[in-house]
Amino acid sequence: MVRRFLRFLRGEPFAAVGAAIYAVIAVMAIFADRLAPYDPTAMLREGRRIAKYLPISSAHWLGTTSSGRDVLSQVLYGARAALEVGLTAAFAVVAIGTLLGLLAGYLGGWTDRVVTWLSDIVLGLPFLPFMLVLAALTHPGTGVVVFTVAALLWPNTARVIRAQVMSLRERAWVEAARVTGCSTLRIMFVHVLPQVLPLAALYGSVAIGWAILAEASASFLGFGDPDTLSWGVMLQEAYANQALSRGAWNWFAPPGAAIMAMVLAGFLISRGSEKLLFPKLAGQ
Amino acid sequence: MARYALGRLGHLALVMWVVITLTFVLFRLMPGDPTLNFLSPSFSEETRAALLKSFGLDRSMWQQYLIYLGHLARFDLGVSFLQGQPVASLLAAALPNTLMLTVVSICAAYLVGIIAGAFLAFRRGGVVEAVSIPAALATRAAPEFWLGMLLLAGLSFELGWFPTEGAFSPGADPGSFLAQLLSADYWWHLALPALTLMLYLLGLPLLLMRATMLDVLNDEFIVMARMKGLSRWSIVMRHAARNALLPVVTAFALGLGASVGGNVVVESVFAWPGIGRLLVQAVQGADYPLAEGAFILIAAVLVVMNAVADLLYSTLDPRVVRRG
Amino acid sequence: MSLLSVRDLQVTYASGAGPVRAVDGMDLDIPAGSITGLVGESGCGKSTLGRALMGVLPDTGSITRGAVVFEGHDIVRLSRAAQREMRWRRMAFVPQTAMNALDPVQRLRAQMFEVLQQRGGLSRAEAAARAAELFTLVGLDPARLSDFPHQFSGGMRQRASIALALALSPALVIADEPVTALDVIVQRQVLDVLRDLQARLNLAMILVTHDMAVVAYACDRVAVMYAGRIVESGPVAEVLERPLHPYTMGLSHAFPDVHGGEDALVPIEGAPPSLLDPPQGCRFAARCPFALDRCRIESPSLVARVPDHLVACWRAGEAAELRGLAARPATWGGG
Repeated sequence: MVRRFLRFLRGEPFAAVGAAIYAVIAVMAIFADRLAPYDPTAMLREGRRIAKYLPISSAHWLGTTSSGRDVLSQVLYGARAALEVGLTAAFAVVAIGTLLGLLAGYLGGWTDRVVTWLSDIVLGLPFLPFMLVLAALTHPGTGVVVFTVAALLWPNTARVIRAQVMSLRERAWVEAARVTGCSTLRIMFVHVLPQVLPLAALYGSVAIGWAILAEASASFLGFGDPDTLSWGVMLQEAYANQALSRGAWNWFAPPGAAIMAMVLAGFLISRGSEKLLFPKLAGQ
Repeated sequence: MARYALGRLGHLALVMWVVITLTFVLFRLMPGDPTLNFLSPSFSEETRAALLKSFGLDRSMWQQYLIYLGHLARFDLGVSFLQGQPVASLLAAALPNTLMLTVVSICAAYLVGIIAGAFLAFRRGGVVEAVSIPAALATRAAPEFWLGMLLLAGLSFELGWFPTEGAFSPGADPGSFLAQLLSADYWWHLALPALTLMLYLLGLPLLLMRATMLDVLNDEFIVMARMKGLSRWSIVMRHAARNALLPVVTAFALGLGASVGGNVVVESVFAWPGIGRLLVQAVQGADYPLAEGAFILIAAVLVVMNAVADLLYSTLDPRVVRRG
Repeated sequence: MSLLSVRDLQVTYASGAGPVRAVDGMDLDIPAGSITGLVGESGCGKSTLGRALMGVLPDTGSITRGAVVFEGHDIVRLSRAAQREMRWRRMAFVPQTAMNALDPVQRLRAQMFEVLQQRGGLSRAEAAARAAELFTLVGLDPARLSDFPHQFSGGMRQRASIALALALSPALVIADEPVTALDVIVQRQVLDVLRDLQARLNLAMILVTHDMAVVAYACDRVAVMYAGRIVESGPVAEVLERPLHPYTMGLSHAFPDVHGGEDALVPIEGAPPSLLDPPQGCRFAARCPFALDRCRIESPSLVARVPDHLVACWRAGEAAELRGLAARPATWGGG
């Protein structure tokens, strides 16, 4: 299994780069407390003055913020928030999308119509505005981000899973299971579901990216979780504290680049593995 | 065809109704006193009473819902708490700015994306492809507002080429929308937000055009066109591009609808006076009538553009009509 | 004097494993005003030949040797512009599956007009008249010109493709497996259209097929192709009645008779040789039940054994006996 994965990565440089980015971010998140040179929330001092707006130096590889916090440490800790939001939301999207896709594809009929109808409604809800309104009416934080991502982004996964299930349903072994008296539920979850999971995981890797972008946008607009140290919150602080007019690139460039890298990793992995799942596209 | 279009129209109306109802439920059923959501604490006792009555907030939820629908039908969206003006007129003032930003940037993105994507389909392999495809993916992966921040810091603050915020220089508001369109100052302010959005939107048409073009170029009818001795122009434009454009045009309509809502962050970065910024201000200031109005407007644009995309696809691809 | 004569033609595809010679040392003569069936198994290079003649080989393929003399000019040596000028005007093509060969988003009228106006130089009114005339010619209602390809049945699409091929009154039409994707009844109808038009317009036609029955039904002459070469050619009646090459004998047994005979079908065992590294000697030797040592070393050339009947086989002189043996299924390793 591992060897097959490694061989796949060698043949697909796109997917290999994506996996490498994920690996780096995972290491950052897991070992943030050991890798970070400073406490990311501590206001550092230079003698009696707050060490604010320090440029890049050997003491602060990425400088400091307007309140004297170490940017590198914040970026490292930000990986934790990113992984947390990304994985939770991606799991939720994939779970909902796969379940509804499975039901619609396998049962067909009115179940299918209801799912199609639901996804039409959901596609009519603007993503960011919906999240903002929800945050305003409840309370801002990661919960709203995860909920919005899960509630609004499942149709893509569901559509693909549905198509896949519809073709699987006609295969001989499903027919055989039906004839031997397997219950519908059993066929769906024991026989069909495992077949579509790789495809679902593929959509999950893209959903991680959307969730992180959503969290970043929400934080940037002031609807993030104020107690979490995320890349989005860092960007919001930088924007609000004149980092742009001061030209403090060391402050606002790294968190955005980190977000970009992580979202890009999802794209690259899905692009690479598309060829694995859909050999027809291999020529492109 | 007409029947198909009519069917889509019915579908559109249905989806719009559900979205509107959902909005109503969302704004009324949230925890806390719903009347508080619509009555600013700063209103005088008289205003409160009048508003209470006009919204029917003293009546049952069902009656409130009917009144809400009635108001919507007359574009009466209530009065903004913060600005004290009718929500409808605030939205009407902001909508042209949002549309300008969206239309200019998405048109530029699709123009560049389609040409570059088609070009890349002809130039397989090599450095150009190795660089441009990851680059296109990267612009799609970057947060829009961060792209905006980079451009703002570099082109406005460091180099001073573009203004840093708003739609006009201070004191230069030309008034009417037409006058805006004719003022260079407006376009100068529009440039950077539009560039940001364009960069963000560019990846999709480019990658899509390249992929479908590659698909189409392998099709038998392209080989046949060459056999017929047709000119290269005719082969590429009439046959290859026409077929390859189908999904791209659909994506354009969908993207137009989605980016009106997605503009929220870009408008905030550049303080561009559009619907998105209005929504953010309303939500931040607990200005519920304005937030509700802006949300419904953005959702309406999205729903309509989804339907347009559908209709466009069936007009451009004769094979679809059969199924409809 | 032949309308088209192919001499020692070689078509090479570049592949990861090295050059593949899909057509290698091919000789073929197509007389004016007749239908020649070009028959062979899939992968023998017959479709490549069709594309090479039309000048639309894929990017990886090219003509690496030989001459193609058509109406007195060697088209291999013509300039690109002159080649393009000739295409469709003098030599047209009916494709394998008309489904993808017609542009799916354009009405048949537009596709017809494109050829008639851009390549034929007709005015709009002339093109309209000609398009209707062509549709009538192939047995389609001219009103259907306003349809899209997907609104046609398979047989109708094939008729439309034939109409398109005839648009500029070419001297030669190459039809690549024109009936393969159709059911038997529609196959007959389309073949009847082709034969009828060939006779009425005095066309020359190359009908590429893998099916001997189609050759027997529709063609005047036949050329049998194996592993990139012609192994036997001549008038259909002569070649089918008295095949001189063991491969032709085997092929005749491998397909059902077009007249409905239900003789046992006997496939030829084995597969054609790799064109990446073709064997020395006769290319059919490895599958030939009559192969001698000589066959494996020396390649026989295509010579006239009987007037107008060419064959490339060392044992062509013993053909009468071999035919007797070939009629027995046991000869081919079957039972």
